[in-house]
Formats: sequence, C-alpha cells, structure tokens
Amino acid sequence: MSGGKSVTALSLLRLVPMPGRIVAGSITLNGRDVSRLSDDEMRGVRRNEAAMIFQDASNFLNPIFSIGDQIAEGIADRFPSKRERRAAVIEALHSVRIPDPERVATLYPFQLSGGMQQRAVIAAATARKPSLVIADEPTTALDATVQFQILRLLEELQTEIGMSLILISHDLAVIASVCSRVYVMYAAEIVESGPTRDIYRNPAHPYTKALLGSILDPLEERKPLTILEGAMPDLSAPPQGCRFHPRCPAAMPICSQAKPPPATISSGHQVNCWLHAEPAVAA
Amino acid sequence: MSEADLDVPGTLPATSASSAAAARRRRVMRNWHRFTMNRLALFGLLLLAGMIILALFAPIIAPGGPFGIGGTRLAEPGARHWFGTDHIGRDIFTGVLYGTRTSLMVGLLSVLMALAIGIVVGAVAGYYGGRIDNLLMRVTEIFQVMPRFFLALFVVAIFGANIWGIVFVIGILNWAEIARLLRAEFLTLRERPFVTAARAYGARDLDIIVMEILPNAISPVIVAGSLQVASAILLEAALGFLGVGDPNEMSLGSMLNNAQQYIRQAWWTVTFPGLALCLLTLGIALVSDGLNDSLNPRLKEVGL
Repeated sequence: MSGGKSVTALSLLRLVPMPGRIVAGSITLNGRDVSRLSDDEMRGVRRNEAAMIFQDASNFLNPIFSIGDQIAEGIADRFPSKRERRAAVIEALHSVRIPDPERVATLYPFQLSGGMQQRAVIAAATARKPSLVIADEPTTALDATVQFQILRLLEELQTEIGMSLILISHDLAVIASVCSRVYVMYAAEIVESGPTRDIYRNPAHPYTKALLGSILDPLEERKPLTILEGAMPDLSAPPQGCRFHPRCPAAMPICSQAKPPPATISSGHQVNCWLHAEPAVAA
Repeated sequence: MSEADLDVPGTLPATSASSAAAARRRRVMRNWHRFTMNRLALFGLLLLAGMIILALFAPIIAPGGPFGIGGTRLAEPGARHWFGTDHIGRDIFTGVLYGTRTSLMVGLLSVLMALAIGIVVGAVAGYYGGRIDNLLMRVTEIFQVMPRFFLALFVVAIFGANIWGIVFVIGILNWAEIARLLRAEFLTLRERPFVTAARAYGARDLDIIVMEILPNAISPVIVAGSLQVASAILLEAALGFLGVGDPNEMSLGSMLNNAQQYIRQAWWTVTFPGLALCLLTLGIALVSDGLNDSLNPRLKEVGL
C-alpha cells in the first residue's frame, strides 16, 4: 500500500492499518457520523453504503477464485437463489462494459489484463449499488487509453447508480477531468478546497501552486518546472504551525508558530494559509 | 463460494452455460492431468486405492475375521493360505487385510482430528495475531516439545489400549504442526490487499478467514496432513509392536510383534505384514508428494 493517500482512503471506511487509529474528527456519510458507529454498524456501512476501488486491482482480487465467484460472494445475501445471483454477477460485469461477461465470470484474475481486472474490481464494488465509492488511484497502474476508459466508466456509473465518487489521486489531469470539487491535501491535512475550476484557475495555497507548476506543458518545452525543496515531513512528528512552512517559498514568521485559520477566497473556495488570513487579502 | 454456485444451466443461453461448464471441466482435467503426469504419484494413488479397497472389503474377502483360527500353525503360503498362517494358525492374509483396515482408520481419523484442531488454532492465531497468537503459539509449542512416542505410550498405558484412545493420542500429537504451518500462511496472507478489499466490502472476520484466506492457505496443510497419515500409521504400528495396541483390533504392528520369535522358521509371518505397512506408507508418501506438485500454485503454468 502506498503511503498517505491509501491510508486516507482506508480511514474513510475505518480501516486504518495497524497501529494507526482515528484520534479526532468525524466522517459523515448519508447524515450519520460513521466514526462513531459500532463495528457491526460500520460493517453494514461498508456492505451497503460505501465501497472502495483500489490502485492495483490484481492484488485486490483473490487469486484462487474466479471473477464471477468473487463478485457473487459480495452479493450472496441479496440474492439467495443461485440463479438470481448468477444473473446479478453477469449484470455487474456487463455494467462495467466487460465483453462476454458469461465467459469472463469463469476466468481467474491472472487470466485478465490490468484494465479488465480493474473493471472486475469496479464491478465488485458497484454490484451492491453503494451511495459512495472511494477510488484510490484507480487508474495509476493502467496505461493512458485504458485509464481514459476506466475514468469514463466511473463517470457513467456515477449517473447510472447515482453514486458519489471520492477520487484519490496525484494525477492532476485525472482529477481535472473527473472531479467537480477538489480537496488538496498536504501532510495529511486539507490545505485548500474548492470547485475544480477555481482551484486550477486560481490556486491560493503555495502548495497548490507548486503542484500545478509541476505539470509539464506539451506546448512549452522549455518551461521550467516548479520544484519544492526538501522532503515530506515525518508525520509522526509533523512541523509546528502550518505543516507546509519548512518547504513554503512564501513562509512568514507566523507560519511556524500557529496553524493558519481557514479563509474564503470565493464562494466554496477555502484555503488554510496565513497569506490569505488577513481580511484585506481575502477580499 | 464454490464453482458450482455459478453453474446454473438454463438461466443463460445454452451456448454460454455449456461453455462455462466446459471451461470448468477443462480446469478439473488440467489438475487431474498434472497429477497423472507424475508417474510416481499415479503409482502411489493406484497402490493406495488398491489397499483401501481391500481394507474396505475385508469382511467380504475374509469373512472369518482376523482372529479366527483357520488352519495348522505356521503353515507355509499356499493355495489355502495365500500368506501362510501364524503361530496359532490364524490366516496371515486375513490379518494383513484387517491390519491395513485398522492402520488406515487410525491414520485418517487421527489426522482429521489433528486438522480440525490445527486449522482452528492456526487460523485464529495467524489472523488475529498479537496476544491471542502469542498465547496459542506457546500452547502449540508445549505440544511440539512433548516426546511424542513416550506420550503415546504413557497415555495408552494409563487409559488402556483402546483404538479410540490411540486415535485421540495421535491426533493430539499432530495438530501442532498443522497449526504452525497454517499460522505462517495466514500471517502473510492476511496482509494481502485482497483481504483488505474483503474488509472494505464489509466481510466479517469469519468470512475472511474461511472464504478468503483459508482456500489460499490450505495446500501446504493438505500435503502435511497426508504425510501425517503415514506417520500416524507408523506410530500405531509401533504401539502395536510394543504390545500396547488395542487387543480387539488386528494391527500390523502386533502381527510383527507376534512374528518376532518365528522369523527363522516362518519368514512369511513377518514379511507380509511388514510389506503391507511398507507399501501403505509408500503409497501415502507418493500421493502427498504428487498433491504437493499439483496443488502448489507456484508450480502452476500461467495462461490457458
């Protein structure tokens, strides 16, 4: 599992890897704070409300069961009759645009390509029609054309099933093409959030600016990339004040002393940065 | 979730249903093929199957029972007594049949018992880890360091020579190995992403243990278990040889014990029970070796 983003994704379903645990904050889903549910209730949430799609699908499929069996296992309680269950499995595979679902259901994970494996994982995740799908870098392991197809599929499923999608990614192009709202995280904290368009057109936080500055522009070959000095802080002992200040090009004395308060840039666009903390700047 | 769950002919167009069935048949055939490719394993399987059939039908083949006296004592092998008779005139062929029957029963039942305990302990210890693991593994170690043969002798001496007691003792002696083996598999498998995925989809611990991890972890246990059948048979024979076997059940070991004094006059009294024991354990060893080769996923070829 790869570092911080996946931990965030798992934490949303209260599956923080040992020895981690959720110490503060709340997670609200469909009007309920799931961070306070009992373990049994939480399992119900995972079964019925929220599902997850993972980065490297090949590892997230059980190697010794056929694709159909694995999807069937997840929906066994909803379709007690084998006949209906099989039909639902075929339907789930069909909904993720897998050609010849009857045959693919009998195949084992190692017999599928990466893109097909990811489709199978998406089929398993969406077979129960969850209201929320958390996708952790769902396309990182795939090549660009397959990546595009999977993203299109996720968007289509969003409208077909009526699910919300949380996409966790460091691929700014992917985010721009799929998401309507962006939360920029640095060192496990949200530093800026807002509608995708606002964030990309008008980034307010120095970290967001640095992120966007690191995109290669195919039209301007000689454009220098923004480089952030230093390395990610040790999260078991994060920096005082603003966690970004040791690497921030615009750091001020106050940044190392206190956490910046949230400031509103425009409607729905918020930033946690001392640069914008003054009312004059926010206006 | 078994494959059969998805096999519902009639829900689909006939072509796809039959192609799914055909694919499954191909898969079974492939595993079978891999097993039979292994000449030694196939030989072992035939050997074992032959002995199992003989043992099963012992009461029909030899209706007199193993303790019936059917001829003169120490008669040479011939048309009437294929394997000759022993020192009190019992037919050795009959004795070998019933002895094999006892051996197989003790071997299989004790290993089933060892598997039942070992799988539960190993799975729980490996899956939950931490304090539970620590506790269970210390208990397992206690069973592993016990001198097996002497414990078996001790228990039989105290509680009397009863076939069920012997099964119980051998089962108690063997579960620790199964538990450790399965625990090791669970320790690595529980960290695998597909287990996280199952949890993210709301699977219970029991579902994850039984449906996700155990099927991935069971192969080495099957192989170890099949080898244990052979060692259980030998242990039962050893108890019989020392004269502490169940006197109501014919045992290859006690036949060897009785035959000791007659080795020079009547070679057949030791040869045939010894040969039966030898072939039985050889057959089991070859089969378990073949199982290892065909079940081990790391040895499977990739692709269709």
